[in-house]
Amino acid sequence: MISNPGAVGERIGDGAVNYADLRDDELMDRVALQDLAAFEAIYDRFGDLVFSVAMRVVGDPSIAEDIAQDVFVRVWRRPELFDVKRGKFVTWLMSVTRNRSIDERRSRGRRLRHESLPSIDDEEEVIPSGNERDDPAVATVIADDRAAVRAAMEILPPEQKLAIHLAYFGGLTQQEVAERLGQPLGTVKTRIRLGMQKMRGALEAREGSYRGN
Amino acid sequence: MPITCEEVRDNLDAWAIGALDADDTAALEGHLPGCADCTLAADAARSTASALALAVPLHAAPSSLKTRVLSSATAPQQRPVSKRPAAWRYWPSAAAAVAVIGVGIGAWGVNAQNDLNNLEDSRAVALSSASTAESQYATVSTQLVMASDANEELADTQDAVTEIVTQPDAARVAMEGTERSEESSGRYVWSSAAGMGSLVALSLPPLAEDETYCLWLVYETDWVLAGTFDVDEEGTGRLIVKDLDTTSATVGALTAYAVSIEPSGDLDEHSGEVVLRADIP
Ligand SMILES: [Zn+2]
Repeated sequence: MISNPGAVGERIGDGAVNYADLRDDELMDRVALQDLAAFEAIYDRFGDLVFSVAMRVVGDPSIAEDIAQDVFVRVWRRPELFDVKRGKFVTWLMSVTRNRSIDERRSRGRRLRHESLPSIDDEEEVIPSGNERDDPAVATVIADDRAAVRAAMEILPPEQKLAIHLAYFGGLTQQEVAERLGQPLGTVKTRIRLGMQKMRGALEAREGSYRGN
Repeated sequence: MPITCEEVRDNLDAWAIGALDADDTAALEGHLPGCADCTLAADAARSTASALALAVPLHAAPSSLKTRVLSSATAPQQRPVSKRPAAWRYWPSAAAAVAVIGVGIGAWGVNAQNDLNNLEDSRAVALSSASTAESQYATVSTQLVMASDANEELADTQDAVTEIVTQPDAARVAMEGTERSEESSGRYVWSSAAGMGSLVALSLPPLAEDETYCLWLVYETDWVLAGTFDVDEEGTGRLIVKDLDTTSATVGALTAYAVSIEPSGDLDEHSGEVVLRADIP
């Protein structure tokens, strides 16, 4: 039997574990130990969201599926890249997904880039909010956050929202946004800064926020 | 050219949504490691940016995605063909892995005794109750030959990890790369109640053909071999330790865990370079 090692180290056990009840960071602790059931719980919680972000950037379901697969395989193989000290898991996951999607968008060149640049119209609900998927994981874990974020974005003037979206989902630099909109660079920088400040204010006002970790 | 905190703050929102050009991005990211205040502000900006992603219109992922994710995540990656004995090349195909996952997930934790029985003869489980170095090496050799049963191995490894982490006394240490391999990291978790331990090591250097990785329990007067393992293409190695007999060799307290590169073959004592280590205070 393994002898004295039990006396040292950080305790992680807490008896019977129901993965659906664990916070994101607790699940990731287990993913780091290559616990496949914890990884599956992460997928169940975020699979639709990761796929949807990829869809938003590349606009093609089969490419989005490939991207989402890459993102989750990365979560499994390199879980140590998520550092709980630097923020919530969902922040990191969204950042990985967005960056991976933008890379794909760029590597696919002009066609994808120019045909599917985000526009204000894209922001109309593809799925009306009343009819969003009744996925229990999404409903319980991130639906409140989604609602709060969408409410925060409602207050953005359209020109601020468009500049932010062209950069974040379209992969354009602020210089490229300025060229595309035919606006001075300084104007675009201001729109981005004001829009992001406004969103941050609205999100911070809603304390408590995401319970994922 | 260094930039000021003020310039950084002005650019953080644009940076967080990926709107800075390469030069400005490099300047900003060069500033962050040396400035705790700007790093905090950067984390906040990144959090706001991720809210943009959180708000996208939601689509249901295709049902095929989950299967693809679980199978490709767990299917060991392609190994270099020429460097390994033939059996090592035949890791489970994606299809085999899917079958294992389909059966395995529902069954985990349901039948712990059965899991333990599986572990008894598991090819994944490196070691255990080995009284001599020869028999340990024989176990490893058996693993080589039996690698075509790697789908079972995968399921057994997962069973073991689940068994360990769900114990009330489960505990872990983080292992850090040594000078030999600074980017490496590892975690060792064990449970005395389960009588098992699990090591996951990441970013380990590749091995030469006649080398193996070893996990050691470092006692005051002796190094006790806990098991041997190999790494995949990305340097990921896994080891389940079970029923380790430390009674004959142990004198004094456990002082550290260490992973070293050793020549394959006689493994009765430690001689190779240590790449991962966790000292016990
Ligand atoms: Zn600063």
